[in-house]
Amino acid sequence: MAIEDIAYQFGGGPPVSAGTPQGTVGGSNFRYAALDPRNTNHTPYNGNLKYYDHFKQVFKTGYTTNNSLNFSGGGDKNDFSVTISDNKTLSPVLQNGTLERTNLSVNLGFELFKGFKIRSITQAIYTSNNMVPGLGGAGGFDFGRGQSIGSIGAVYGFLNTSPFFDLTRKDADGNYPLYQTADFLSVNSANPYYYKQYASGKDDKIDVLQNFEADYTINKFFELNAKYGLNYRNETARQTYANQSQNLNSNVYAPNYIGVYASENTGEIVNYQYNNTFHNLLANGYFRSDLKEDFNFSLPISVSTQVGFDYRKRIYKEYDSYGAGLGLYPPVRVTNTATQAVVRDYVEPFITYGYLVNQKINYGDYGGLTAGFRSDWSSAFGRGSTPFTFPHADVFLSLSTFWKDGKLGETLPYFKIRAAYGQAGIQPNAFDRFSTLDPGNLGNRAIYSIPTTFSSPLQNPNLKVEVSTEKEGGFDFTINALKGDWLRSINGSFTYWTRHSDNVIYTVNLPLSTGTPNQLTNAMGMGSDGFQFSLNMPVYTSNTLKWDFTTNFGHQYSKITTISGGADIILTSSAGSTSLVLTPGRAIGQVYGYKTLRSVTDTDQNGNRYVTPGNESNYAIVEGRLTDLTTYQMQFANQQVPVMQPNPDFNMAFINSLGFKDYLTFTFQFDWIKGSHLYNQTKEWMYRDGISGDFDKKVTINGTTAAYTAYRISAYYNLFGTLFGPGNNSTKDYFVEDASFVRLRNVTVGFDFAKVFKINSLKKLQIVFTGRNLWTKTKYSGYDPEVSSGTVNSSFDRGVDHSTLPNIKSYQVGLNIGF
Amino acid sequence: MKKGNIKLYGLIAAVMLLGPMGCKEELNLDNPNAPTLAGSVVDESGFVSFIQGGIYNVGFSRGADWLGDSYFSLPWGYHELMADNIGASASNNQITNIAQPLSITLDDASVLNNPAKQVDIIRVYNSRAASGAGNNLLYYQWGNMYALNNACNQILANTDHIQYNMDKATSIATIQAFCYWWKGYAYAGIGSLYVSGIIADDASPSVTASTKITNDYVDKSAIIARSNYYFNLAITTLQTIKASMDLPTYNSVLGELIPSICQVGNGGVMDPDMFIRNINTMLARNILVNKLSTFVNGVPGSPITKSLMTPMQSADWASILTLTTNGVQQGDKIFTARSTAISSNTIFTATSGNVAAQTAAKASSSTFKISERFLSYLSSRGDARFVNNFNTSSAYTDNYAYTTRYTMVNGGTGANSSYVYGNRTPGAYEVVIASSYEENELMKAEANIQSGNIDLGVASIDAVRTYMGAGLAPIGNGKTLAQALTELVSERRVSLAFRGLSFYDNRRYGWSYDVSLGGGNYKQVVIHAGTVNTNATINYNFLDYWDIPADETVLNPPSASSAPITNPNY
Repeated sequence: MAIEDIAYQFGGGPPVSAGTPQGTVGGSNFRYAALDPRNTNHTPYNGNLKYYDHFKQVFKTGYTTNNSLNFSGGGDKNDFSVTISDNKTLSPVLQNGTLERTNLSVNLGFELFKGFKIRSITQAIYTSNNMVPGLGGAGGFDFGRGQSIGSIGAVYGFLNTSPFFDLTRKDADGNYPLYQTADFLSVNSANPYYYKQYASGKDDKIDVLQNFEADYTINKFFELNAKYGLNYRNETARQTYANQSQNLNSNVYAPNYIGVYASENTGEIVNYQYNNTFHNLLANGYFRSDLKEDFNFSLPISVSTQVGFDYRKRIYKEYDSYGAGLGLYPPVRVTNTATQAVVRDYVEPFITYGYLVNQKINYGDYGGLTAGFRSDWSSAFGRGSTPFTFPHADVFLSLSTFWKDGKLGETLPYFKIRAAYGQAGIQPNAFDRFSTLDPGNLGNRAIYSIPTTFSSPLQNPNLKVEVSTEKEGGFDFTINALKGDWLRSINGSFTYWTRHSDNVIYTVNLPLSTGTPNQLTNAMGMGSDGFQFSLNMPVYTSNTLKWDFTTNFGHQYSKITTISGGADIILTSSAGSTSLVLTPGRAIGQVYGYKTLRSVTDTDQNGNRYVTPGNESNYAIVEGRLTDLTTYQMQFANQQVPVMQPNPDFNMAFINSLGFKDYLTFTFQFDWIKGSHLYNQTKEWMYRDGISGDFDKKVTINGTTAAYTAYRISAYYNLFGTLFGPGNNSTKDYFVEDASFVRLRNVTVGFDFAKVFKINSLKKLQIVFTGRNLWTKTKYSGYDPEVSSGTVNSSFDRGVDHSTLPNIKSYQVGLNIGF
Repeated sequence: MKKGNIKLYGLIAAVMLLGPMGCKEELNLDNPNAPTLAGSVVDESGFVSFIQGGIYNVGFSRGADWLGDSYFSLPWGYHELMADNIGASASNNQITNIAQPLSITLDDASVLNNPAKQVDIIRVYNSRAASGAGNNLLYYQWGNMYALNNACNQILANTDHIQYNMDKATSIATIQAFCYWWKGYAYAGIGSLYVSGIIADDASPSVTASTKITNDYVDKSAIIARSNYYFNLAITTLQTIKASMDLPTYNSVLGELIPSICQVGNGGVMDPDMFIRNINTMLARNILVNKLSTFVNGVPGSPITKSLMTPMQSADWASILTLTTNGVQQGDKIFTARSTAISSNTIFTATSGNVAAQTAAKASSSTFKISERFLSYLSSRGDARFVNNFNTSSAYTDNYAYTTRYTMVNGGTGANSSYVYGNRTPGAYEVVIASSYEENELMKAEANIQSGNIDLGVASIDAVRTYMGAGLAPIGNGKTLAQALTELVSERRVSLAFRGLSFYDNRRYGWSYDVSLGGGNYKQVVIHAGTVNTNATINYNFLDYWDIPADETVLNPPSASSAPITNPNY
């Protein structure tokens, strides 16, 4: 169960008398013994402990099946479409469960009388997920909002397990061990197979989406359109942790177990119930007219006016309860648990509505102007508030209209320049402006607590709406390139954009002595700008072969422009301990850390040299890093500075699409992200126990070449002027990596037998092979350069790779049959 | 255009314009999930929910997303590490590095040097970014004690408009006494550990639930004076209750203020006199832990040449004697905290929420490992508590300060009926938050010994040993000062362990100071390279009073007239 007495060959402990190598021959099960400069890692392994590939034990092949059936038809006055589809995915992580989604969608359209059309779209979706909690299973606070993925918290545990342990081995009691530790080895280990044995998940989700649309074209001037949508979702996620009290390993570690609320290893059932309702009414009236045609106006002016009303009401409900303390035998129900409690009974209504007015004026094909505004009220501000009104406008000029009949029109038949300006408001969350206390329980009493934490900060009745202002300009063009089959035309588009957000709502720190260190406020301004360029060209066009090529190029840069009060905002990354700080003038997503010293003359921020003059001979440059010749430790500064920002220099996509006759299609897409960076927190944790492959790399110190553990592991432990771990796991530029990559995102080959073999009874009998992420070229040493372990969709919390799941490499075979 | 159409358009226009008006009532959505001060803290029941949440959750538990899950696991963990009662091997919150001695001289006179001096680590990490990454140890006790203080301020600002069940004046006085006590406790936690602090008593604009603060940092002695002020205010309030108010109301209200899970064992409702005795013990502690009463290498009163503390004077000992004579007696109820079976309604979890729980597991894998120095006090004299709590089932080797041959057994070994140091079963372990009989009796013992009444003093030590089930023979009369102090320091160590007190003892004994200043811990057990040294000298060289965390000083920069925010002696 545990491997006792694993040890480094040489001791540990600090130097015996200053300046001499430390340690004691005879071994030490002290993890800092790795810092003893006499220990090396390149001796051929001849012990009797086997090495296990945990990646192979954890990541299996997942399978996906998709089935879809569609009927459609109709006549002049009506149409219908019915689609039934089913998608089933087996998780590649231990093949621990499946996600299945069944979708029925019915789309009906009628024209009741001339000009009056009604459309109804109904969707019913059933989603079922039986993945294990911690391995992708559903559940948790706010999971029902649909904005987060199932927790993969158990992944970290296997990445931090020593490879001497077999994750799939059961103990003598027939159970998987949870904690596979050997003294200082894998103290943070947790076995995903234990999760699979004792935990189970069941998530059932039903979505019903009903949309009605009525459109009445009264005459050529007026049109009325109303849409009403009702989305309803009911979801129940149940997590069951079986009684683990018969597990030897769980008991030995006094006790070590998995669960959510239970304080003992006797198991529990946690039941999360989520409910979402969303109503949306959108009513628009349009007036359109071509003044020349309709009113014999002399100029070719057409106008269009839109007046609209938009009402949205959203209700989110959550009810979470659990029972702790299950028996060893069935029934496994909450009613059979020792204690039960409700941990959350929550309802969040939110209403916003407003109206919008748009006026569009076009002058022939030469150009046009649209301007309008939108005005909204919100329940986040209560009844007495005034609405927020934001303007927007855009203008375009089709220059090619001027030369369309001339010589230039032959080579440049289309050229348009355009510009746009707009403002929008982002409202605070439903309750951000209402001061409340946090409910909780203590023993058998309800308690009310002052909000003090980062996750539950003080609300702020003075919050203002976030304002986002966007400007963009650009042009679109078509060039008639070559005559003949090759490269007949080139279509392109270029846009430069800039965006500024003010009053961005975020939690800032108050002095601790106020007793309330976290408060929501309109904390900062953020600015970003960038450009996009895309080209699309029919490379080759003939009767038998059609080859299209599209490429997109994008670049953007985002930074913090202002912070209210001026003090940095310290972020708590949900991706482990990597240090993120928001500072005015710095890029968003900036990672702060300690720099590797590169020279004996490096200085700190006050200009003081790290290495005292006269002591230079105690150091040498190893792999470009300043290294102490006594301790063999690479040296880091002890002041934090910006060391990385994740944003790429650019990203590009190359999409080729080929069609041969009417039966063969072939498309493939390459993505190229250049200059992005990742902080490899996963690797830093693996350095902690010396289980990263880097530990086999040899360096030359004091004339001897060896894989010194002291050198390598100092990247985890060291800061200048300290030894034995004060720098442990702190953010250092050593773990910053270039995450540029080229990836074959997608490749698809389709072959239609119905066409080749002229099967008349079938419209289509197409077999399609699809592969995603099949090939990647990168220097990034982690398992995927395209991950972020931070908060999903956060603009700040990015660029950290911390024990997250890689993107899936997938192959798919599909058969499309059309009648 | 036909007339009918115009009507239609008029109707549509009217709907669009009036639509927003009709919806406006709908916008008045309160948060139906959470209580509010105005809407929920109205009657006594709601107020008790607010008070328990403020003191026991906000003060000691909430936001404790660090090692363990309460004030009693990490902030007290630092004390116990610096006191050398425990060791650690994990990176979390710098627990392994923060309490490593500067050097250790072994029996053979060889010296183990630690190149990472404690004060350097502390100062490198005293930044807001480091706090965010969990590396700034200065953050935690400061944060907890001011959160507790603010909760008290908010409670005190809201006493008047509450509908009480019984006599209003007594109810208010009881709640005030309770808050004054906790404010005294919070200031004691600041002034006994940090070089300076902020006096923050103004909660008048309680809309935001924050205390209004100043940027005048005052010296630690002023913070201790503020602590004493509130302790004394609590005493006079309790005296008034006893003299002229309704005692059934007092009993009923105090019985609600103390959570039912804490009214077990030594915890419970105390009458005004008993409550005053709890306060007197804390007043004695405020004197004792903030002055030097050195005992370096067995020499009473040896000087420490650079310290922020002054030596105890005979008047101080007399004060302590008076206070402890009127302090907690055996059998008195005290303030305690306990875990519950489920983690959503507890102050802390049974398996990780306090130092004892973090220590009571296999030494090779437990977060905290029992220290050889701590054990030597017990094992050398056949104390029953030793075999009842420790065995050699698992060891930990780091070849520096934290190597230990012993494991602290969860729930005790059952060898005898003496005190059990740690228990990870929900509800089983009692955290002593403040005063206790054993602390009071040992302060009385020390005051007597230092005042020349040595026989009286050792009798108090014997009384505590009997109380803890130590099974030791009485010390006997006629001991020298040094002999009596040797017994005293060892008994304080073993009977007050894991309560955030032992570092204060190491500091006032002079042991935590650098050897060159007259400090050091002599004749200690240190295991190194498999050898048991019994005459090692440990030179801790720890900061005596801590700097103020950057999370305060950056966001609330000190005024020109403020006391220093860093320790000038380091």
